[in-house]
Amino acid sequence: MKKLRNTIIYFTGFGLIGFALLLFQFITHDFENNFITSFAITILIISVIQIIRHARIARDEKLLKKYEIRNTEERNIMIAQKAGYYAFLTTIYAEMLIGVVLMFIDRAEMGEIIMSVAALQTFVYAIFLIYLQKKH
Amino acid sequence: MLRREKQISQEELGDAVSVSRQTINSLEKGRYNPSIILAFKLADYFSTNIEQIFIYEGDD
Repeated sequence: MKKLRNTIIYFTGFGLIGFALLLFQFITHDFENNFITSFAITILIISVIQIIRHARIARDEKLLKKYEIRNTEERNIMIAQKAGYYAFLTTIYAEMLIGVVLMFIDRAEMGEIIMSVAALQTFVYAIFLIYLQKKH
Repeated sequence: MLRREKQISQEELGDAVSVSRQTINSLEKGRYNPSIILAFKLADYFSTNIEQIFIYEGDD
């Protein structure tokens, strides 16, 4: 229930940011800046949908039990961790591959940036690995 | 199988030990190794001990 309440609070805050951005666009009449307007509308819609969804779960005992199981169940946590790890590895390899390809097609500068991002991600991963190994 | 002997569905067993129906299905098919806590919960639910439900088959 605590997680559900926190999620509703989180999306309310998120929605308020979207609403404030939209209001700002209306006040400044800066409608030419389509990026901010569409960004504001998007986060406002996502927030409203998520608030309605979570409020519905909070009212229904059966849905609430399923929600709690989904968020705390050990197998789901393990699957999420595995998915995160595979996603991390895939993106690292993809970045390295793209970096090498860019260097071959005379876009070395862009390639270096992408390779640096991959190196930074690996470095952050190593730091977390060492920290968690010491902690547990 | 203990669950069938008790005539309960995967969903009901899952609800009783706070896991999803999919987890019970994975456990029954041997695709997932439970934590010691879940193993104890299942043993407790069937009023038996862990060794009666799970068999250690090496590191694989």
